[in-house]
Amino acid sequence: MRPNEEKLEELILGNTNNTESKKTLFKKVGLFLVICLPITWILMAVSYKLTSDGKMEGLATVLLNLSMFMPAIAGVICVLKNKEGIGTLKLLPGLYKTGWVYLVAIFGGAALSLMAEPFVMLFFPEVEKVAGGAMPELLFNILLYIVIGVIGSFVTLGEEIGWMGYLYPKMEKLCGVIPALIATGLIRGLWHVVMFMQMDFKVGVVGFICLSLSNIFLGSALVLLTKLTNSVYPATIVHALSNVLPSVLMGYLVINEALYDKNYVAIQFVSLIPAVIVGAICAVILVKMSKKNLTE
Amino acid sequence: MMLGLLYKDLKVMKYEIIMMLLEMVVISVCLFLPLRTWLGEESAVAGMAPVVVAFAVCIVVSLVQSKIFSQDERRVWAYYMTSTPLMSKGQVLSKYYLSIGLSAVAMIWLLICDMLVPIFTDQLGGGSLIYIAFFFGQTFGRAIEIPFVIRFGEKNGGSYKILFGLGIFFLVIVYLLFGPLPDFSNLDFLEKLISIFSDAELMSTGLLGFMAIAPYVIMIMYYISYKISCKLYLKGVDTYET
Repeated sequence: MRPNEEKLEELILGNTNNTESKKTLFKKVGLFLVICLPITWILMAVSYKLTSDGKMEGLATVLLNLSMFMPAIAGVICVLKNKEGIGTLKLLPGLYKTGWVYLVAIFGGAALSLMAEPFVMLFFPEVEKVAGGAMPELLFNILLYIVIGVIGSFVTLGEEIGWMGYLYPKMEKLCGVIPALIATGLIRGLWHVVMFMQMDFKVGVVGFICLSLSNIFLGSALVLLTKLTNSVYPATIVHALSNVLPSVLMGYLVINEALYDKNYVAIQFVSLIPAVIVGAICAVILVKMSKKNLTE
Repeated sequence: MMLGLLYKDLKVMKYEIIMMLLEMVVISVCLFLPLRTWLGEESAVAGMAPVVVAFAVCIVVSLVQSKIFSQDERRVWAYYMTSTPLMSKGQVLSKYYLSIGLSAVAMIWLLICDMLVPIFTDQLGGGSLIYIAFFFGQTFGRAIEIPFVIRFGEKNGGSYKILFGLGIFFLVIVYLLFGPLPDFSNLDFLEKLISIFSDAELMSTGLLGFMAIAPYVIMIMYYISYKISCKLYLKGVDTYET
């Protein structure tokens, strides 16, 4: 093999073995968090400050978009420093005989993103309902925004490369499936903390708790999709759809503002029910897969 | 092995792809920014800037996509691929992935440029939907063209595609001239059709419905095109010169 090809192989595959000690894994996770979290918080804080001052809004947008890619940047820095190989970040799409996983990610992810509001309407029928005569336009908008969400998922790729490509595999080796899901979910929630600091105290605290819980449960679905394809792209698609579709649905709802404010905390927790159900099923599957891998 | 096929194609077409990427950068920097900044956002020409840029980038990508098949038009390679575990389906699938991958790279680049426009100007990009529409338009074109290229080869495939299109056009003309026409004395149908075009709200819902459903139809067509190409691949091998 020529020297260039050897260097390329080392860059992609790395030269570390799979039997790492817990101390080594802990250091690697720590390094990732030290690079990812503070820089993201600084970028987000500067972006929000510029936006609130009405200055350099273009730069504020760029800084915010850059912060979205910090987990990926931190992951790449860590793999290069630890000589683990870029290939460990699961960057390849893994498209052969896994098309059905992508279809599940797209349509299952869309359904999961839209299921929260029907549960809220079921438990609080006086608070929200769909505007009369809006169904055809709502359906068309949902179909259109599924396409936009899938295509725009390269924005959420920056997060998922870091979380699913680097952090979760390390956490799973460190502490097992369920603790890794909980820890990764909490870290993902903590990563968004600057966003919640811009909000009203009650909204910010409840939002942070609900987002962390959502990341824990939805995270197990994302991990399962990643393991089935050995790729971060299905998780990226689900993440993008969960960002885009709820706001599409909200635009067609008639909301009783007074009742919504009165029941705000309960509504936020009720909207987590679909994520909890799907997440619990995926977590059970992941535990079984993990046990099967250990016995093999 | 699928990864190997894609790597092989990228390696063989390395220079064409690098040139394509450079041309995309030049087009978006040298065409879009001047059109939007010098002419101002209110100008009609500036409003057409995303369309012009998308069209130019589509042409650049199409030129590279047309060369995807010529590299492997060898009987020895085709029969070798048929004997591998992936078989001819894998060979065809890798071409379909590469084709849509190139279109996707171009579209993502244009979307990133659209996101960066506010830095250089005080304006929003505003071209996202146009770039997405061009992506699906290009995919639609590829879905129709690729089976002809696979069956008849790169040199002749384009000609047969045009002949096929002309044939359909000819049949439609013959039907309209000599075939049984609908009963235009029934004015209810015409009145309903006119009311759709004159009702702005109904038109916008119809347009929204078309934009929402078209991408799914085009992707299903692309999949059906792949299935047809798999059936035609070995027949096409007989047309190769070596």
